[in-house]
Amino acid sequence: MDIKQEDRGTATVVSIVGSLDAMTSPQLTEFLNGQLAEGRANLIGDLAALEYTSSAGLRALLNATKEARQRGGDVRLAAVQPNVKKVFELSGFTSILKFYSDVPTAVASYKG
Amino acid sequence: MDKKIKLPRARLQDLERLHDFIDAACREAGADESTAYALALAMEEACSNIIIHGYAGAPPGPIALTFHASGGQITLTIADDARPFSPDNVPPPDLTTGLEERQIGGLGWHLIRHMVDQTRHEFKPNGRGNILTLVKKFNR
Repeated sequence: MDIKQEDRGTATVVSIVGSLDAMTSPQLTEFLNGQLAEGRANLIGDLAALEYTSSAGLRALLNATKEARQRGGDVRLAAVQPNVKKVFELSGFTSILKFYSDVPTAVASYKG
Repeated sequence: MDKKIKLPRARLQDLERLHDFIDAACREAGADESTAYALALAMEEACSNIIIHGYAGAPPGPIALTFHASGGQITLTIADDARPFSPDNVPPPDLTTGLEERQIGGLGWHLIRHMVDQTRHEFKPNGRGNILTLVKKFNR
């Protein structure tokens, strides 16, 4: 798994590339906690190149979302691929996380 | 076709090898992408449970995967020497609570049941370990 980060106005886009599994998801948790600690609370997970997630990846995203919302921000997910989206749906995550079709739409959601 | 892999002392860092095994076996069987994803997910949820909970408080122990494909059906068995565990006792997760109350526990088994067509669990005859059988029909 690779993680890249880019600031876009008031939002921070975190691109997660590859696989989120029980082995790699702690890296994501550490990265997102680092962003939050630096005051970046308006986070966007760009999942266009995320090919796989297990429940371990969901746990990492859920915990980061709780932290971000406590700081007045959020973790919003963009461009989720169908196989990955299905895991979010089966896990009942689509009712508690916000999903956007692409990164620009997710960035715009933080404006205004 | 039949393929096997056995890890004598399975740790979380070995999940990559198990994922590679499932990927290669699914390709060889000619399974489609969503079948390969479903089996990879079911395998990871089961094996990470074994590594984290099954062998908790003990040294890492063995996990053996057996992959059998024929007639448009894949049968994956996952055998361990961990403490006996009954998936029937895992309560279904509450998928309706809000963010703050949301628990991840039980989600693994919930996903396994959705990813495959059939699950069967048995205790090893000697009382030490479990054999989980997952069956999934697939499209070529």
